Amino acid sequence: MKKFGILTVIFIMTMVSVWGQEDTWEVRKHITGYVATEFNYFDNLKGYDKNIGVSVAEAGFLFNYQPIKDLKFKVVAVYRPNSSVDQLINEINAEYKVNNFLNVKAGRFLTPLSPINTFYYAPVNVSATLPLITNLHQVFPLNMDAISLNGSIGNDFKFGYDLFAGGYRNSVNMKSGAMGFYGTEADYFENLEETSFTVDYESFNTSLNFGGGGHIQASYKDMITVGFNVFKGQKENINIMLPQIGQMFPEKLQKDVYGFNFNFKHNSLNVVAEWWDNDMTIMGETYDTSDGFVIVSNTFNKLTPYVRYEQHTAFGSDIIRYAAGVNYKPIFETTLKLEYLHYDYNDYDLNGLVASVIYSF
Amino acid sequence: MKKIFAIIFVLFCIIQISSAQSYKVIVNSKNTITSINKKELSQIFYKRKKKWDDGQAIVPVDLSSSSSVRADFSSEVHGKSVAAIRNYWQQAAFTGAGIAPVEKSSDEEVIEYVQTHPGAIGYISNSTKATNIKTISVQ
Repeated sequence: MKKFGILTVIFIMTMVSVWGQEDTWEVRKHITGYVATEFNYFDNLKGYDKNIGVSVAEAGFLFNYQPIKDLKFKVVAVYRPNSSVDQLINEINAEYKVNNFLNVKAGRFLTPLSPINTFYYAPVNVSATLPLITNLHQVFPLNMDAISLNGSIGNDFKFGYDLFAGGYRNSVNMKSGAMGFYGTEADYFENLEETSFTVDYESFNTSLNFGGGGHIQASYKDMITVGFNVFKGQKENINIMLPQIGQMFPEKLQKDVYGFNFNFKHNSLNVVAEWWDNDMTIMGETYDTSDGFVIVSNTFNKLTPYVRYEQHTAFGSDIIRYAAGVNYKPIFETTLKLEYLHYDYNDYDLNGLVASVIYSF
Repeated sequence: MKKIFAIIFVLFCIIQISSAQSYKVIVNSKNTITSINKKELSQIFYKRKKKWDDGQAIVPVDLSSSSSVRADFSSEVHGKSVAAIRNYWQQAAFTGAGIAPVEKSSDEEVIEYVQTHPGAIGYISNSTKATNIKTISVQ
């Protein structure tokens, strides 16, 4: 009873101090958004009627609301062609800051694993196309309906962490871009050759799964950042079609994922690199898949040229993708991106060109 | 010859006047700080430095993005355009890294905000008269 009394006094004192702080707090609301229109060309795309396309590839809207100093609400809605209403809500969450080292976030948020995943939105990503790791989303889901404990400590030397667990739906083989090709590359190239099985992505992406993971990182003066990531989900339901039998089979898929991330910033130079490994168990067999990329960019006033190298390895084959482009941002409201892409997969080569115009507000 | 010297002198004066700092940095009158360097000031407006030496939370307040005083402040303190700073905060908002400082549309609103927020720091036009707040020097 005495213990309860002490706890009550501590609670009241804490609340009084919090209310005291809120006397001068001004409610914060922040709205921003963008519309990205994209032009796409591919020289040798098999199975497509057209090799050229123009469409609104992405349109996003963000609303931040901070009623008190330590509580933030965030909503991000993103329209993409072919996306469902559920997928329209990319993020909707509340985050409470307990102290500098601990924030508690609940709701839907971008899976806080690969740092590049949080640069998912068109105006904040320097390149015109997203790296394969965030476009294919075979390794970890785009977002989760979950709880996250996160924080950081330190100034020059900073240590940060993010631990999270909750439900998620996959977004594998989801079409994006003006021609609906991005996001489907792995399936596209694998189907150019004889495959042992195909996946019913519709049921795979709509079934609810449970998983969790963590991200830790250390940085020095925001100049060098290194991080380690882990993700593990419960067995996911997946329907597999065996072409030789012509029948669909329900199966279970297990992912064991870990990855490393690296970032170096000096003046206007930025180098981002990640490497991921996924031990994927399906039909009683374990397949080792891996993904890696490196992006080098340098900003010269309003112009940022960049190059990117990527490798996606699965089922014994590699998709290698090279990209080179420029990002030009003459004013805050307008971003222009131009990018050349080259895919290399066994005997199949594919060249592409992307131009996008992004209006921000 | 005298005329040439006179013209040079006048031009020199014009250049000096035009390159003079067009803003002044203000804090709450209870704040004990008297001066600040540009690097520290930039860190504050990027929300990387979050507390004053006495532990009080720092609350930066910006002028609106169309303000010419903000353009000068941004250029001199951050070494970047207002558009570049807005890009930074748009990226921070989407990635969850943070929310931009409060924006006020006039010097008077900035002054009022700084007067009523003990940890606040803002900037106003050099020509605006400010009362019940403290002006600090920028090094």
